[in-house]
Amino acid sequence: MTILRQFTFVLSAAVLGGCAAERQPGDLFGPHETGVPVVDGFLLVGQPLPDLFVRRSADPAEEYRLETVSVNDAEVILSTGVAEYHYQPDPDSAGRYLPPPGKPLVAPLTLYRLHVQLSGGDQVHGKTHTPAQLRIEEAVLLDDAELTPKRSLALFAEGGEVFIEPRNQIEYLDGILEVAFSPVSGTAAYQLAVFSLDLESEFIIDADFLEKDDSEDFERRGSSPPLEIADGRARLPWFAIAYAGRHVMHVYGLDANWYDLVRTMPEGEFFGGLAGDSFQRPLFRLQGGIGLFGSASVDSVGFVILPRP
Amino acid sequence: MSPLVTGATARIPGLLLLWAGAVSAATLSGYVRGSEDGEPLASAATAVSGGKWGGLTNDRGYFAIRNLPAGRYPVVVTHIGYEAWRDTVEVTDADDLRIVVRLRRETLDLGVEIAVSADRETSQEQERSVQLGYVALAPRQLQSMPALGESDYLRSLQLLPGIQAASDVSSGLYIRGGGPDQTQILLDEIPLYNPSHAFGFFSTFTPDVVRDVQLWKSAYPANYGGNLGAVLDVANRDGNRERFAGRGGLSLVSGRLMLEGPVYAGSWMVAGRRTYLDPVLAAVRASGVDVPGYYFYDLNAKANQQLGAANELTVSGYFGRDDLDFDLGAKTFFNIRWGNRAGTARWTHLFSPALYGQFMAAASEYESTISATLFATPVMFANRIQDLTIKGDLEFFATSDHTLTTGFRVTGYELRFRQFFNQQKQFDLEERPMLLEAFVQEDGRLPTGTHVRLGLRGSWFSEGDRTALMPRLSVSQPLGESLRLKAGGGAYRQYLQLVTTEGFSGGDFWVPLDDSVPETRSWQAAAGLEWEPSHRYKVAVEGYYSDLDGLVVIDNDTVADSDDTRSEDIFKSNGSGYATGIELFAKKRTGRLRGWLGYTLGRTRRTFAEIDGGRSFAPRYDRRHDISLVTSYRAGLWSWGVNFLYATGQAFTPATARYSLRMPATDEVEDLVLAGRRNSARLLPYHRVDVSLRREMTMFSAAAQVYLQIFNLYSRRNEWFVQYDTENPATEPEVVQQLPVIPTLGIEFEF
Repeated sequence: MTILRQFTFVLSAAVLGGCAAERQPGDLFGPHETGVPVVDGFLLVGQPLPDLFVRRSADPAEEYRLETVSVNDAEVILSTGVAEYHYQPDPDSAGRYLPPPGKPLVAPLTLYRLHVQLSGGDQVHGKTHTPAQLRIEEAVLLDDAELTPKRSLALFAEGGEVFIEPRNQIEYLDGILEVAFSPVSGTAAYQLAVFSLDLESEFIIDADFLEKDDSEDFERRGSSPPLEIADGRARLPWFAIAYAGRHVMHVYGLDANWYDLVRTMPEGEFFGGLAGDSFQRPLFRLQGGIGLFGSASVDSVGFVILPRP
Repeated sequence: MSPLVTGATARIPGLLLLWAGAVSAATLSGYVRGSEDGEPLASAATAVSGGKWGGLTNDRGYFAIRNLPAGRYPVVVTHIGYEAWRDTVEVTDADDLRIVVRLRRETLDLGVEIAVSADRETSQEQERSVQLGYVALAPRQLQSMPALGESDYLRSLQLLPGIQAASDVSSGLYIRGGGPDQTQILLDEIPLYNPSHAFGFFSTFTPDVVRDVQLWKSAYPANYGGNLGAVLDVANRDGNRERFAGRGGLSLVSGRLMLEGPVYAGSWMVAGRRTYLDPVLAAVRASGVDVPGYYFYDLNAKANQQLGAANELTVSGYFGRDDLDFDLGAKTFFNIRWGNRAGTARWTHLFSPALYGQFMAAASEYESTISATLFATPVMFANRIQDLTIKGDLEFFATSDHTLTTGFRVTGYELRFRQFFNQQKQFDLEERPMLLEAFVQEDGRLPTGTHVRLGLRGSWFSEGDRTALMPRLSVSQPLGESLRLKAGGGAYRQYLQLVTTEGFSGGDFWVPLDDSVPETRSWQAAAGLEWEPSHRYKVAVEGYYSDLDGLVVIDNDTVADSDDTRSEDIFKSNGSGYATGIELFAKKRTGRLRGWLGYTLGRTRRTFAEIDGGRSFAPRYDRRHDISLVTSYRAGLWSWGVNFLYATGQAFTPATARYSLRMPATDEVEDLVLAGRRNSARLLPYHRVDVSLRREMTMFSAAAQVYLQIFNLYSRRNEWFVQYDTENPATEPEVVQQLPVIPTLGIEFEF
């Protein structure tokens, strides 16, 4: 056999061997990181201390079950420079830890520290600086062509029944809802969220390209990516609204931890997202575990969405 | 033969005269062109008196041989694929002599034109292309290769060793470990900023229009600059100087036509290509199925005039556009438009027979606009990059063995990226940087036969007031009759950075790097051996290494709206990396059966402090093994081609755990997967076979070819990326696959 034939044979064998490669079970997962402590808690300025959650990460190749990953025997302590709050496990909810009775309010511009001691010696530490209180000063419905105010909406701070106010009744796709607030110190960025409060209300998107079942894909709660909003004016996009009835739009002023988590969270629905360069580990800002310990200040505006005539 | 021009040697700048040294006798100069169409033939070899004196033509087909003593000399001009031109010239002491040589194509005894005639890889050319990693691809060579839909230069280049594709739907070039942004793509010496159609599926280069494609895979010479990695230099045809002619074709995707002809003392060429998908899509829409409307087109035009003996003026233009519309009703629609425009005016002037000058004014623009309305909420992304360039090059043919080239380039850029959401401005980034560059380069052949190309390029970029001196060196040393040793290297800078979106090139935009991030730089070294046992075969092995610093990568985590945006806000910066590998290339150039076998063993790594804790990772396009086998066979009126490709699977980031978190803004629990180390796992290897079958025929007295091409013959469902379903923790990951088998038909004609 000539050298050329030998070369051709070896090459063909190598190529065919390579072409015949098959995937082994588990090849789509990396080295497992099971059992990593996961802490979940965020403070809202002016509201009572929140519940906290402690869990562990699970095998990626197996079905995820909350009951198997929840940690119920951790020591959870939240502290400021002057106070220390010992959390207790919630006997009715696996992995949930409740603040001490009395539920002190979260103070603005304050450093809070979290210490979680798990069995087996694992410890998780985190800290957050709460922002100053955020106040919505104005909510207006703009003309969508001229961008001039059509009317102002009633605010929760004014004390009235905002959902009954005629000026807070907004016809679907009519105008642009804009809220104005003063920039808040201690804030890394802002985030908007919209909640549909009437859980049985009508699905109001009338689009030929949607199938009947598609309405199930529209959530009643949604949020924006983090936004800078340097001018203190935020507008509600209509694609965030899918249902008629009462709605609340929250404006959050985020601390650095909350901001880092949401800006680095992979967008799983995006084209190629979970395999491309955007699939990455979020910034958790916790020592000894993953999750979120962050804070924000929040204010809200309420309104009612009316179906188009 | 009669001399077209005679005259005393014109005044040459003093420095160049000093450099030239010897007292001039007379200069033999001239143009070498193809006899059929008058197109200039680069790298044609002129030998005087049996090779005692000689020279090679430049890219415009011009050569000059100085210091010829008075006398009568036999002259031979050769170029592979063309019949040698032989004559005798008489040189006197007083007069220089200029000739125009028209070479006729060789024909095989089969009576069939040798398609390989356009292959520029002659032994002489190899001496000229002293650089390693130099590739020249001729239109006729491309035509015989199986393609997806229609012939495409960039896709054909992906079959060469050291060049990878990102996917079946991408014409982007990933060369020797560099991304598409690290390769400069020039059309008639002007950058095209996004040379693709259909989201990267096709390149903007129309096959009938292109005269030459030259690629420097690394260590490119000093007359190019502006990118870290490689240079692709595409030259369009000048137009047929001999007769009115045309070419065209119809494929399942588009129709195209190129017309050309002589005009006065010059030529012209116009060409157009357009998809005809839109009427088909409109018919589908009319039947009630929601599909978008889409089309793209290209327009090329070029004209040149010889203005007296020493001047030539050339103007050229390119326009390309993609347009996608999708109106879904319910106040929801999408419109995406993008395209390049470029125009040049070039003045070529002979200061003397030995001093050749080219001066050019050019403008290039890439613009894209993505506007959408989602349930009455408008969103708009608009970006534009414009440049205006003044460029000048002087080429001095000092002796038969030395050519000195120097040049300058002044480029003013205007870059703008705007983003609006719900009628609110989110980004408005506008920059007007300026780039000044100059270079000097000496091509010399030493008495030992060593060919040395030594260059130095200097640049100043206004953003950050950055200056750089970048030496370049290439050496080619003959080791006997058929063996050559080559080595080369250089330093490189890149001041503009591409911000690209995965899988969708229509939204790509460029930004200048300001002084908030370190400058992006590389140095490269390469060495190799070339063996040409006969004119028919060539075997080459090359090793390369690139060291990269100051790399940037788009920061997907940046806040969505920001004023006063700086480079540090857009990019993760100050990355480093390297790319190294060995390429093997064996090519059969002539005969019924032609083609090549290429193999690359490569390794590419990147390191960013902000990614993966500063650990190095493989970019997605890193390939350990890459094999390509390209063959074509001709028998009478029939010809066929077969391509086989094999490559290591693409790198991807695997999930390592599942967990759940409440999303703080909505207070809803989400099941999530935890990303492992960046690109630490591999998809299955990539492989496919493409075939083509062609038959020559006559159609309305014009030469024509009908073809059938089958992409991915055995419909291998190569893997593209992995999707982990976070919403349903019981679901297995989904591997999204690439294109299945796709047959296409078409016809091409020429008159």
